[in-house]
Amino acid sequence: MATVTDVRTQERVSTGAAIWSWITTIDHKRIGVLYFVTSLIYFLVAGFEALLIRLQLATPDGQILNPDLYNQLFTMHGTAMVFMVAMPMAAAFFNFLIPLMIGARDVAFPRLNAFSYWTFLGGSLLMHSSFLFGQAPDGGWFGYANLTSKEYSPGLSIDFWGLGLLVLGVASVAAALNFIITIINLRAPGMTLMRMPVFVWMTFVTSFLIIFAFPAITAALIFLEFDRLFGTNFYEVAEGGDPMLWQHLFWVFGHPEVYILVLPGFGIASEILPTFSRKPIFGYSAMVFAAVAIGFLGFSVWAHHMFTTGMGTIADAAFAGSTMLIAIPTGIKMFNWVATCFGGRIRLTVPMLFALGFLTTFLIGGLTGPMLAAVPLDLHFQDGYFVVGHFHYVLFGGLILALMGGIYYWFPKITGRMMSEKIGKWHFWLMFTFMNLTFFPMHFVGLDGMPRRVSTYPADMGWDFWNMFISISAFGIGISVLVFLHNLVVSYKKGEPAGNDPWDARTLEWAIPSPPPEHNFDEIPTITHRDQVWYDKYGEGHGSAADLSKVDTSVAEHSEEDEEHEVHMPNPSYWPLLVGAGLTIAAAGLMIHILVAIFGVAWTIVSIYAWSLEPASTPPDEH
Amino acid sequence: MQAPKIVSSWWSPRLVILAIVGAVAVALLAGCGAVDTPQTALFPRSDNNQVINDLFAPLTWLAIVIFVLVQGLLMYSVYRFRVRDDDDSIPPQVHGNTRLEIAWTLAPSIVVVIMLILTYQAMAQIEAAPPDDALRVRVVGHQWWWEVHYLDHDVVTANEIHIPIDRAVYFELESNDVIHSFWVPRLMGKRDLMPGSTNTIWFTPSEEGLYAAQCAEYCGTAHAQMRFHVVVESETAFNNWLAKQQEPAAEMTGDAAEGASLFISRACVTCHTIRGTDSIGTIGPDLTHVASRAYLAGGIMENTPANVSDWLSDPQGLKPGNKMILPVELSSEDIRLLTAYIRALR
Repeated sequence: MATVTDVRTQERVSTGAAIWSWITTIDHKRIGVLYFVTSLIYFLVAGFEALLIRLQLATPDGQILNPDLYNQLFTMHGTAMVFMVAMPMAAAFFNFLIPLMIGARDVAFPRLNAFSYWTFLGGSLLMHSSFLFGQAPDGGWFGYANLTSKEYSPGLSIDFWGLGLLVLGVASVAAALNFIITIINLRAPGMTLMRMPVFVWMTFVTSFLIIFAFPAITAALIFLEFDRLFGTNFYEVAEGGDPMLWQHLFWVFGHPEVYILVLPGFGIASEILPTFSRKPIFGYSAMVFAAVAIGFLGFSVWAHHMFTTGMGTIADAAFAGSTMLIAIPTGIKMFNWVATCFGGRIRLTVPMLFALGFLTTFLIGGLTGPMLAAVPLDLHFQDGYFVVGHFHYVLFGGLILALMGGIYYWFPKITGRMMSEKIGKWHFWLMFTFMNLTFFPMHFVGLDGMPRRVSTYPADMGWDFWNMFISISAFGIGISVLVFLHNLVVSYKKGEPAGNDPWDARTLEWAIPSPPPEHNFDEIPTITHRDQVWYDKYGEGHGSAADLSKVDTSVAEHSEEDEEHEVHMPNPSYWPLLVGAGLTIAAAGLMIHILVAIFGVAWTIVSIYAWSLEPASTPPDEH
Repeated sequence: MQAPKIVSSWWSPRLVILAIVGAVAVALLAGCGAVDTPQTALFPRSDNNQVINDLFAPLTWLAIVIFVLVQGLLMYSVYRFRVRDDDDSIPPQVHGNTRLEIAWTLAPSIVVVIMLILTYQAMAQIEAAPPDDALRVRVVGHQWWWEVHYLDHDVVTANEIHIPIDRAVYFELESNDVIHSFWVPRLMGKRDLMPGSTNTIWFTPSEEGLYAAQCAEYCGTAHAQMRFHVVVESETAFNNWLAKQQEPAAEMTGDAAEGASLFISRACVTCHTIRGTDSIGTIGPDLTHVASRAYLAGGIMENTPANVSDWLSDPQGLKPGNKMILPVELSSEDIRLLTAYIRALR
């Protein structure tokens, strides 16, 4: 049961075959790992960019970066952290966990899943390749028109950004559709919607948000690229276009995007807190409906990013109101998390520390949110360091800490080995401390009048002390990330064998071996309760008298006698990669020559045909 | 069920972190006292900014109180209910409590209503129409400087806005190129300068002084160096300044006169206006009375002879990306004469 062999012994067959198997894989778990490793690399890249930014800002009149390079770095830091770190890291969790948590053998469309990954990789490489040409995007992650027009941003930097994001958008929407359909259709018998783990619910809501939010930015980006490539006038003021159009479209996407980023963190915390409190999540249905409410309200608040644009009193008042309403479902979630801990048997393991750290920092970010929604205050906070502090509390505190907790929590399931608790505690305390020391003082410099996105500042503004302080602390975060990487490597090689259920957890993925076999479940489990695995172990478990004789940690172990139940798994395929590559070439072609773009489109169409003609699984008679 | 052990040796992470936090606290106490922040949003010097400040305090305290309550409850729960390694008991499996959940739906709702009422009250004040006798000033944003028009007085200047104390000033904000944002933190919150439309903002300054300000919307390469200053002065001083600004440039003598002819013969003339001379360019700031301003080059350095000559010798080095690109480098003699001229444009 505690073998740690599966994935790695397969790999050692031969390097070429191993690489080929990763390229053609359509196994949701392997795609999850691909997403994880890729997003981790981008996390290091974007984190490195942040440290360069902090080096420049450590002293007034910094001379380390010139303004153009600085502008490229903050643009790529923001863009990468949102689209190439947070979203794909969440996708890694969705991929690995959703089929396991709902008792399925894979996602609904395994090859579409592979396509999502390869398209994501293509889009992100396309955007980052801009560094090779010294033309990295420099319009900010929000890319406000009309600074992004050909007139004010000649060259290709904005095209790398816009076209890269368009390719990434295809990947996100395809993945979101896949998860929605998987969750609707592939739940194990008996798993009603209201028996799904909260993490599955958060994935479900997030996926809907992606599907509704991405069309807005896609339209905005297509207008932008039409303006730049073909001379249309969507945002051209002199021709009657309007830069406000971009802002509305961008934020109609951009604010739901915040919840796209943070709901997966909510989901992870909602799995970790019950496990290490040994209690079910408090107020399950309230948690679910609060997330759905946040999802709906998230689409009605976008213009709170635009209070300084002079929309008028009525619009300002309406968006302030809708924004503050979000505090209500968020407050409900916060109280329910605290109540989940209350009365439990709390084990302060590393995943639990990260989940508690998440609650703390997200609470701070959540409380500065309504302050920003108060229009008169926002007239000062907007585009200043107060906002930078606020959203780093939400995204680093609310998302990165939760993701870290999730990594420690599910690493044993993914690799079959435990992560080191000892190193993990160092990691947590360093990251948590320096995260607060970095981002909290940003509120102070913001109130002291420092705008964001400034490549330098004069010496006599009273900002020197805090900027130096923030920069030093930022390097502390860097050190905590090194500790984390060290832990990942050491634990991957030498971690203690995990067994099926090292945390005494509650949800289905803990009933099968670690790492799970390719087909996940020998026999699809039947669900009778929320927290099925806990129920199997302890029954209703009211009171402390656990009947340990009932423990049945492995649904999969039933299967020894069911060997003749054949499991049909779909075949590997390289067509998803080729379709993704075709899309990337088409996008890149728009910057090179129209013929290259046509070639890319042709490549894509041919690959889609080949994909659809390829049998999805080997016909039964070939067994 | 093998709950991992909690590290408890003397150098445990928690202790080390406590030490770091302690050291930091000391550093903070040392650092806080001596800070002077000329661009702070916290000490308002106008009526409308005071309204904003009066909203800041209660909302901040509300946030702090909520944080302490919720975080306290969380810390209490974790402390009170944490277990030792050998405790294998199962707590009651509580799934929820309707009354509690209704309570903590109502609690944030009440807080939200309070915050909204306070917000709307403040908005009603700062977004009201300005008084009829307000001084009207049009500010046009350029990459990366500010063009300033006094609409009722036929005065054009740049990067330094003079306004009288205790009289409302009504700004009409426009942009010549991309989006900028007008922000004088001690006098008022920010308002964007949108290309293609006119935004407005107003306030009544309540204390004399020189207020630092800068563009708050990312607007390209030199965004960080798009600064300006607002001078709040007495009615008399303001009227004197206004009268002075309405005059054409003074007659030049000596070096300054030579500099004046260089200004016309070199490329300067294509971009700058100096009223009363043949120089009528409109790409860069109006320099008719540039010597009267406290700062140079979009508010980035003090207006001293040395700084003027530094600027003339290397504008791209001092403010990378700015639109002042000299077709040929100026000789040191040219710079000396031009400096004399610019310093004489009082």
